[in-house]
Amino acid sequence: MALYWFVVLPLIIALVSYLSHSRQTKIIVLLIQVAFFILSIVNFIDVRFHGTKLEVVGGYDMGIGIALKADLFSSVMVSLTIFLFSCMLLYNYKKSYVNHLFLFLFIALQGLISGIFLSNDLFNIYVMIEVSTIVVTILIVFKKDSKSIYDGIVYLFTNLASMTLFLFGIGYIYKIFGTTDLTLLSERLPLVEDSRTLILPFVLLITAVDLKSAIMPLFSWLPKAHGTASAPSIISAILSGLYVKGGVYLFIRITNLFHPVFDEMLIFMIFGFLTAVIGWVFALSQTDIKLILAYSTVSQIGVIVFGLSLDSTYGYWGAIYHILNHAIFKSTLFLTAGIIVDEYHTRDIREIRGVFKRMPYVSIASIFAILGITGAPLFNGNFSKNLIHAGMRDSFLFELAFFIINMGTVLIFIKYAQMLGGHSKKRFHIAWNQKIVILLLAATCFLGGVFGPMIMSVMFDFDVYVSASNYFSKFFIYLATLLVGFLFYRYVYLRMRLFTKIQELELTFNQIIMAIVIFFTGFLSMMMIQFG
Amino acid sequence: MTTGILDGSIIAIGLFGIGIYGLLARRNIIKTVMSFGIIQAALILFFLNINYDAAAEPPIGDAALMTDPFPQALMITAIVIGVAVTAVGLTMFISLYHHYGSTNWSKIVRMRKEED
Amino acid sequence: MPKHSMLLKVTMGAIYPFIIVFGIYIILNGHLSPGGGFQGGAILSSVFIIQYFTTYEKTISISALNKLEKILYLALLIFATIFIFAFRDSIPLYLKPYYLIAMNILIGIKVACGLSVVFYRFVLFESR
Repeated sequence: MALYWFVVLPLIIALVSYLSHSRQTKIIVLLIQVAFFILSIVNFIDVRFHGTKLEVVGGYDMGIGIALKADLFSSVMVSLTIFLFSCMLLYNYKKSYVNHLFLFLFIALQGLISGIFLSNDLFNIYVMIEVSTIVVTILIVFKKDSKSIYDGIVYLFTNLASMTLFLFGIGYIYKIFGTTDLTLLSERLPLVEDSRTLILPFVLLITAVDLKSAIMPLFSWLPKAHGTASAPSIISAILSGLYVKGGVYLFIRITNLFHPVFDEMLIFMIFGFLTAVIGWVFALSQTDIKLILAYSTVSQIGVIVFGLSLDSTYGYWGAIYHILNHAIFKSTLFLTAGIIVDEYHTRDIREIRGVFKRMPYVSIASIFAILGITGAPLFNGNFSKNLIHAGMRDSFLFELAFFIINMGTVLIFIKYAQMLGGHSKKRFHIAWNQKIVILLLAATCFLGGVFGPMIMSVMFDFDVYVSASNYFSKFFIYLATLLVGFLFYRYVYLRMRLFTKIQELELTFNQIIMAIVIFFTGFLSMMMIQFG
Repeated sequence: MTTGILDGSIIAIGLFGIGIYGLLARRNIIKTVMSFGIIQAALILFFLNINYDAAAEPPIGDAALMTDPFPQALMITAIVIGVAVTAVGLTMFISLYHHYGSTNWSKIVRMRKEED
Repeated sequence: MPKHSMLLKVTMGAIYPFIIVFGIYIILNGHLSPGGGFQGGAILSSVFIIQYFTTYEKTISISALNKLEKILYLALLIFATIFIFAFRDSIPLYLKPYYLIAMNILIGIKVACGLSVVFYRFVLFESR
């Protein structure tokens, strides 16, 4: 099957389902989604055993047509996209606001995100990201609530500003090289004699990609967009789970492209660490459930970028496996948070109590996801964090940094999990389709941990051997971390005034643009000092 | 008529800087939308100036020196994206204005905090 | 637009024939110089916007513009399909400019209608 069907077929399905007003559209779309998922698995098996697929649309030569490339990582991401979108469509089957326009935009978004993962041409990536920005903005403000319109407009304008920088970088690259195709660029890049001509396009592209993947000074748009008041919970789940991973994917591509000329691993390691720490500090000071989850996304993205910049194979594959894990458990958390908010009619975490007695299935799924994200043994988060740990160099500074990041995640989710205890009077039964989806995602958390090494060797051809004594020692470390975190939370955190002050911090739009310009000039001057 | 300094690229970079200044320093939302328009015009000018040569002929049939059609094709797409984005931004601004009654970024942030 | 603005009326009224001629020039010369269907159509749509500013009593019905746009889109598809299937191997060289001019004119009028519809939807539904 040709690769462009992954991008075009969802758009055609969306258009047909919008024009036909029959009642059975939803179930037909669901069945087509399941078939589509099977096709993506077939494509992945094909790439795994026959090597990378590279096709040019229209049958032209390499530099003339638009090229689509599917290697291991991007085919796994495409399968993950289709899997998550099918789950979300099943979850949303009976909601009232799912009219034809919502289905049209949602299914079209799936094609656009697959297009970001598959395309091999810089301008094609630009077009896909711009159109998906517009579609995501409309989906965020779909319920036309007053507060969400401000969040939507800030999201739209900041992403637009970063994409103008991206286009400027593409202009410079075309001027120097004469092509925008990534394969041809990686062939032509070593031919440049003076590497100082490439500083400006590199800094422009990295600034734009940093804003899309929410790395340290440029993440202010993320909590507003992901945790906004009346966004549908599946939109927050798709954004947090999948769309920021598109930004991280582009970050990997562009740093790989410029790797022979510029090697900036140390700076990104520091940025990743700072993002992770600032993420959990902000998350601890929020009282809104969805904002806590959105800031924890920022923190996990810091962990992923930290793992990618460690310059070792263990760290690289650990970070990529963490991308997949984070998509699954963050989606579970957002979906369960959506159900809880709908039932309790409040988003304040200090007022919600007794979830375990009232909605047992929801709380079981939440517990599985929380164990996954904090890195409990036998869950998938543990495996990816172990791999990142194995990739670090043996020095006390790295161990301390890793310990701080893990402690932060544990603290956030101790705060989040306190709503599970307590008493409640009545039982609430959730609909069967929602039950199936959240239990399926929670089971994937567990299975991804137990069969972790096997999945890594099957999917990525990367053999890791984990011994049983390793599991035991990790189990004791995990219990010790939990205990320290619980004591810290109980006796130190509740007395600190710092966190309430941090909650008041909010950047206006002009300040966000100022942060982008400061980041750009700082990075540019640092590169120019480094390369003379 | 191209001299050494006043090349199309330099004017494009100057316009881009003006657009970024408008995004940074002006608190009116309409001025933000206008700055985005200026930035898009600057980028289109930059792209069209990449392989510019006054004596080149269009690439139909045979000619000695041909223009480069690639940036022109890219820029048509970029113009369409610019129009769509301006339309969506302005629609959302109209809803925002109807709800809050102000066109100032800082005032809207303050009103939104009081609403909580 | 509630107020009479004599300045706008006189200036725009004097300019807009030149804008129409300029737009048609860019459409018709799309195969020789930068321009073509889309750019000329965008310039022609500004004529509709000027017409709203100068004579606000007469407004254009959006449904007529929508219908015209859809008819032109169908004409575009039919024209392109006929041309491709008539000359399967290669289009002779003397016929190429006429094909390009015809496609440019169709695209130009279609884009002019489309962008004017966007403007009119903003203006006529502003009191929402």
